[in-house]
Amino acid sequence: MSRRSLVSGTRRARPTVLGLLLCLPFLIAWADSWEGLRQASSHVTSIEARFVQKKNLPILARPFVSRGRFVFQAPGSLRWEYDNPVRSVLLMHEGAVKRYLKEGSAWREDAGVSLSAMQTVLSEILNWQRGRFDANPRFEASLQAGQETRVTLVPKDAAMKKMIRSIELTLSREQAGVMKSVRIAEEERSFTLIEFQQVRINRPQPASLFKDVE
Amino acid sequence: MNATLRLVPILAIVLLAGACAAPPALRPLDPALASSMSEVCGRPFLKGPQRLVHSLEFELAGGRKGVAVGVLVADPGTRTFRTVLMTLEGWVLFDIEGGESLTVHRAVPPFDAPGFAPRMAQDIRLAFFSPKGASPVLGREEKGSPVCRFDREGGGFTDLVRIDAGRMALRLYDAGGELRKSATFRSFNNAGLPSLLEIRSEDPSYTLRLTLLESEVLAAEGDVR
Repeated sequence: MSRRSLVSGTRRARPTVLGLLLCLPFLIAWADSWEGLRQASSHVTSIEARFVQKKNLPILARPFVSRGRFVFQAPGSLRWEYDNPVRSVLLMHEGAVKRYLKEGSAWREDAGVSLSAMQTVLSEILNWQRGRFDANPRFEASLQAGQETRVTLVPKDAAMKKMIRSIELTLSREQAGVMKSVRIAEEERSFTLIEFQQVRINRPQPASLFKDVE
Repeated sequence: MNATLRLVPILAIVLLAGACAAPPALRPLDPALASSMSEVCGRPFLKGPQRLVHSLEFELAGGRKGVAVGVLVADPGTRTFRTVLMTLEGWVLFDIEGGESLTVHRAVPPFDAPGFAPRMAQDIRLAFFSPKGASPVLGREEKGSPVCRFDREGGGFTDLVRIDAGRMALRLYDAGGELRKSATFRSFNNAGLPSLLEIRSEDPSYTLRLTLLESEVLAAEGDVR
């Protein structure tokens, strides 16, 4: 997350220096233990952010970049929307997942081959947003506290290892309960990096955002 | 007599099937057009090593649709390529490398189905590489559109039809003269690359619509990895 986006994300609150000093121990400590992660995430009722997705492949000289918007509303609603280069929206609400694709000026609901896989992925993202990084028994989760706290998930299952080598979640030091980036590695030189920007938390989100494409 | 009568419908079907499979005859081309056709015959194909990124809409038999992103690195000089298909979210579904042989680096179900990789390789060769072999025969279709006809190794031929100034169509016929695949180049960008391309297969039935998102000329010939 850029410094600028962080500033814009927190401008609304305009914390005083005293307030910052009081919060500092909590901000530093929130990402240092599984319990700290769960505690911090329990205070986050909604997240909205822009994201930049960079796909790296051995045959790409530079990453293939997609941009969009991410909205989460506790307990289980997500909107994952790509603005470019291909407009699409993934919605998850009350356990149901839908994908829409923009065709010309209209949206078409897509029941393509990857939708069931995306249901699993979105459920996993929901776990992460709740601070339950170690909830999935199919992954070995480890926490590395430091300058930038990282959670690394490695598949236990040999079949899944062929699909995903690791998932690395970098947590925001500045915003408790917020992820800064996600790196999903399929192989050493084949990975997807998603960076979140302009993150705003705990703003009420209408339910329609997670049910309707428009 | 009765036996002969019973044979009539069978004969009719055989004759009709033969008529359907008859390759479209070429009519003579206006000599004034012939000189400009050499440019047309090579127009839709890659001229050198390229890296292309497409959005790819596919429609399978039964109306099942989906969207993916395709990355293609191809060298028409060596007729080698590597292509990766991934979801919009970046999950790699399919990764193959083609040259003298075909190597499947990754194939996630249902893309691991037998025959999928060779079909994909054929689609790439059809749409991006100029057909191998001798110079094409020039002619025109019944409707008048100019055609470059390329013989194919192992029988059959490929017709490249200039529909109008901005559109071209490739039609791949098997040795029996039956249409197997077609590729329609709906538009070209300023660099001369097809920006909208539709590939249609008859058996199995599917349609791919490719929209060019990014392109890059590659300097190192022969290296598509």
